[in-house]
Amino acid sequence: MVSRVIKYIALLILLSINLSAQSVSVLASVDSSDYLVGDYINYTLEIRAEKNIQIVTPFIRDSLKKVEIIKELPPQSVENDGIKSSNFVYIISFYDSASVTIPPIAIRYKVQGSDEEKIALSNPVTFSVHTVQVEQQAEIKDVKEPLTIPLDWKFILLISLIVLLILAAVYYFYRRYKKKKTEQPVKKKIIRIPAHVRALTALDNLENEKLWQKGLVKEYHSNITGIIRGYFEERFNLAALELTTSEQMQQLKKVPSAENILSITNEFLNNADLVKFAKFIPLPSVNEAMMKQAKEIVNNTITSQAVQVEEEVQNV
Amino acid sequence: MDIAQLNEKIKQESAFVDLLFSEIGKVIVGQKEMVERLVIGLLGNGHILLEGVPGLAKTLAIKTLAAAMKAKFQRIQFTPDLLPADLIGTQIYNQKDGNFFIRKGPLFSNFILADEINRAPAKVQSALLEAMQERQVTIGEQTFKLDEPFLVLATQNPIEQEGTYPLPEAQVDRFMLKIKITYPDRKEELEIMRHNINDTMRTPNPVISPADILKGRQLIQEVYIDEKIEKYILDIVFATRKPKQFGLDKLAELISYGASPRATINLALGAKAMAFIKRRGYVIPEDVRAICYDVMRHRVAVTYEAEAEEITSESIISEILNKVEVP
Repeated sequence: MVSRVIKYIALLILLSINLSAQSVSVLASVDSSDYLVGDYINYTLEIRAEKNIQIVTPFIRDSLKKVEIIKELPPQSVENDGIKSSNFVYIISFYDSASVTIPPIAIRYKVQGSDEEKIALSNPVTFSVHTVQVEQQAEIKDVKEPLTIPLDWKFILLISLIVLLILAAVYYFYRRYKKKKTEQPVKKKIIRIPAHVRALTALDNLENEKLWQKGLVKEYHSNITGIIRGYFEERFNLAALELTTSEQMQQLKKVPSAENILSITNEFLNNADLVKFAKFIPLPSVNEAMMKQAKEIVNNTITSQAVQVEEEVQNV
Repeated sequence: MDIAQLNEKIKQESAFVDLLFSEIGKVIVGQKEMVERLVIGLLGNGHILLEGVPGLAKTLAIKTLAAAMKAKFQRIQFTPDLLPADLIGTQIYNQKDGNFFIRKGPLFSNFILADEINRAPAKVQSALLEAMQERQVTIGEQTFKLDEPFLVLATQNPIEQEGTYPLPEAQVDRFMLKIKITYPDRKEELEIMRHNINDTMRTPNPVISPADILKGRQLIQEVYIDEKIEKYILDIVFATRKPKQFGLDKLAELISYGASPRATINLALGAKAMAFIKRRGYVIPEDVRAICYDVMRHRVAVTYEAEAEEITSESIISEILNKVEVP
């Protein structure tokens, strides 16, 4: 009998030692048992443990499955009489009507001085989520008016400032433009030399170069036709440099003031083509005649205009 | 040879061209430019792609040309079920002696009218184009030289594009010229109508022989082309590739790719042939400009942007010709 009592006492001592060594309790709770779909639910895990026990921060995401975690609040701990109480609060939500059970959450911990990791389980928590009940018999109501956002004076002030700045910038640039416009323009004299003067000067220069006398017959004929074609461009507004001989003749036929040079121009251009494209070596008299014809073409088409001096207005 | 002598020689030797034009002119009303280009293609040893709506005397023109030259002519209507053997020929088994004999196809002629080339599948087109390029055909294990002169005139119908196989750019490039023919004017059309209803259509007489054309080809080699003209040709071709260098900035967006070196070669060759038919011993810028559209229009590809703005390769060539300075 005595031995049996001793056995019981020993067992009780052993059990009390074990309990004190693993005294970690986890209490899971929610703030209500009935929620509307989408309501925020406060799910709390209260872990009570001795201060020599190191709790691993619970990881509940995998256990919740369809329950959405909206926010995790920072844990709060209170120590009292050697017992540390830690509260982990999670704001969760559920988007379907059902009876929801959050299964026991495993809390890992270690006793100081031991490497062994132990697990304490919380209690399961059950709550129900329901949808909005439609009142079939209730009177049909109109859609609610949109909510009016109250005026934000800071925002209005900011917008007003921006508008004022834009107006100030516009006014500044307008003043600057007006000032510039009223400034006296700088007049620059541009001397326009008439086409015939330019052409005759170029022909004189070419003559002085004595190209054909130096054996540069092809260059002489290219240059002399180049001068005349350039003259046609300016005088008759023809794109003569981009036209062939026959095309130039066709265009010249359309110009009344060029009527008196058609025949001579045709001969002049065709003779030059022979030298330029057909290796034709003309007699010196032909080379001289080319210069005479070129000058004749220019002289026969001079207009009554004198050297023009035009004023052009330029803003600096 | 002195240029004056060469000029005289060309003047004399090219007399057959006027004879040819005059004989063709007795049958074909109008279409002078097309006939002229046909002869240029023939003298330039090239082939011609012809685009135009039906009924513009394409077949009649080449038929007349063949008749005026006493040359062999074949017309092949390209269809989706045509096979390469239908063009080049095939080997046929002779049951009597148990041997194969070769039956030559219609390509063995001087003038081929490949009507609506884009209606046949690619393998037939490439068989024709290969023959055009190589001037020979292989049937079985035997290779046969094609007759000389050999000119292919391929037509493409610009309408009814459904179910056609348009020629790829690389194939189109093989044609020396692409001619676009338009409707005759009122006067010409009246003459055509009268000839047909009064049954006064004339049959051409043979006025020259294929040998004259071969001789003409040799003479074209002698036609003088000056360095200035060569530079002008290069400027035109390069303006299609690098328009910005020629102050044609807006064309850069419109050209997807410029003319190939074949364009340069054919432009020079075409200009020489043009000088020859004008009975001149040297090339002038007019010759280059006259042949430029026909040589370049199928070699300058326009971008989608250009197509959207209805800008054609012709308008691009016009812009280039208006900008590039004539020597």
